[in-house]
Amino acid sequence: MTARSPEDFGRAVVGPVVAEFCLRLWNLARLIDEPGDTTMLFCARGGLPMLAAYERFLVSTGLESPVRAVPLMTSRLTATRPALAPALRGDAPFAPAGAATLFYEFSKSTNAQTVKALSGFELDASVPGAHDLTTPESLLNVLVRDEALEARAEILRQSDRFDAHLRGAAGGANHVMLVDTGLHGTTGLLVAEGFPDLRVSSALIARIHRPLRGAPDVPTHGLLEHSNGYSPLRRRSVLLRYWHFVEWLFEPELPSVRRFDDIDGAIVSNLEQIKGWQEKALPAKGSILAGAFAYLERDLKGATAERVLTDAPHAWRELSRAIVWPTADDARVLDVGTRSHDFGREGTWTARQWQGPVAALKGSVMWREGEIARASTPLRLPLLAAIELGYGARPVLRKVRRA
Amino acid sequence: MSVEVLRGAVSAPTTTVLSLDIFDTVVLRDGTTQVFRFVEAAELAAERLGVDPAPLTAMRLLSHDNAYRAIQMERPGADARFSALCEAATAPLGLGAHGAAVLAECELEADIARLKPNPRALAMIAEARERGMRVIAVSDTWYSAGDVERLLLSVLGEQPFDAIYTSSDVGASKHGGGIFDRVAVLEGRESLEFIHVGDTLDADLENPSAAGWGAAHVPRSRWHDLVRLSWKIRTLPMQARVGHS
Ligand SMILES: [Mg+2]
Repeated sequence: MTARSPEDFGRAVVGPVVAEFCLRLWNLARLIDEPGDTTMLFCARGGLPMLAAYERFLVSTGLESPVRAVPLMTSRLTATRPALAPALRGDAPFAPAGAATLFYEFSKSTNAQTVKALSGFELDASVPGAHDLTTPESLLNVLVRDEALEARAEILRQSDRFDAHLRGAAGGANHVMLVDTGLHGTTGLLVAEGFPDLRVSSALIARIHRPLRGAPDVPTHGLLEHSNGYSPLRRRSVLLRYWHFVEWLFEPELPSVRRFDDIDGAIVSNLEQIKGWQEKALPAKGSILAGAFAYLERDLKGATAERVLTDAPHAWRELSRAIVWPTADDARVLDVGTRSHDFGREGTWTARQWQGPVAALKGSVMWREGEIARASTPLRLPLLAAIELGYGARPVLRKVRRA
Repeated sequence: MSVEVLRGAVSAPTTTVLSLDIFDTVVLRDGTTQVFRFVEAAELAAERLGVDPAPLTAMRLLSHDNAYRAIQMERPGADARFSALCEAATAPLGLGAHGAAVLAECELEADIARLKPNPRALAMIAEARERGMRVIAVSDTWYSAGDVERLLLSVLGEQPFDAIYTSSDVGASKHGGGIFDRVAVLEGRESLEFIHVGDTLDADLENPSAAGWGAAHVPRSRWHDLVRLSWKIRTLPMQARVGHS
């Protein structure tokens, strides 16, 4: 196979996959019974290019979105604040989704670091509990102290502003369908907790169910993949083999939404304060996503869904092969480089360097198949086969263990 | 199922309405799976419309999945609407309102071809009529009452009910349980005046009982369960072929 550019790969392979998502989303929206009472909120940052892709799909196919589709300036950070607000205003504990998010995101941070991330305020080191590791209880104990008054007020102010932003985006609809990349639908849970008067649901590219006791019941659907993990028997589950790629694909060159400011009476997020943010939400020239947009804008122009349904099976085969059995060329094209954890704090994921065949099979990495392919080791095929065999054996082993 | 079930159940003098489930109670399916019938109907519709059957089949199956996703998101306990399902499947293929109408017609035809009357249910209806009871149908389905009427006329040669209530029209289902109170209100009667009969344990026995209705469970035979299983196995390669998981 000849080396191909990221843009070519995007146009031939990722384009039909993205178009299939758009078609499925359109179809779902068409089946909403009261479209006037629902708004699809495409969640920043990934949702911004997703909305742009959906709009291009509509233009090319001549379809209209059955339901209003608008961006929502959000992040786990901004969505967490309204879920925490009732506890900060009264003496209730943090609600389940808010508490779980604190646990997932901050259990290795001190309360001072967590307060900084949530409010932007530095907590005086002398405040009791400031250096303790964050748990929902210890954080709440710190935040209700007089010394944390400013931080608490800022979290509540930011919560109110996000509230105003979300309600403005919803445009009076009582049902908000959050459209996002995935994977667990956490934002939906947080929004449902922070906005108990709204009906909240989530439409994701892919979804893995992560049970959360006591969390609000938010219908959450993975429109391309909805399962418990990769299986060689389900082609679309390959997205779960390299989920960082999907996140990276839709991540625009824009900062995460952290705060909202009141600018002459308008509530504006830090993201929208970046000059030309709308253009920056579009794919960079020469990127895989630019290729996918070329498919949506040009290959699909004047076509119907039939074209998408014809192109998608081949595209899925090709994507699956490139992720599961990558060549050095695939590894180069699909390399996502360094990714930020991004929750108002420092920390990154980086593509790991080759450390030998044993290391390649172990540990948590973004894409171990890519690591193997990049190393141009003669063991490439056996190693890739070992990984695939492991995935294939998993359900069998699970059954044997249960028997 | 027999008239005795009814005789026993209506011994209470308060019972004035016989409510029957439609599918696998009044009319019996041949055991084909839903997916099998969707594919059969979409292929028939594609032939009539002169289009490729594969995309139409794929869109029909997708619309089914998404209809129930949308229900869960927007109106839990309600049911999908047949006309919306057909339009959501045909519009992206550029087939318009005509395409949706053809698909709907083909689905009804495909369904009708797989149904036969259940003489025991018809005897039960006759018995209830003799006793001067009102007879209604309560069905969990995406069909409207009009669709069900059309289907009954084809399969039974008559429409034997005073009223037909479908989960799609009412916006509540037997499975979710909400339909029984709504039907009682629509009928202007107390719950203890109803006796409901059907083949599904939760939808036709447990939930009407919980709503204060009399209820009798009349399941299909073990033999039918085996036939259904064989159809499920036959459907597997079809599901793989149309890419439906
Ligand atoms: Mg039934």
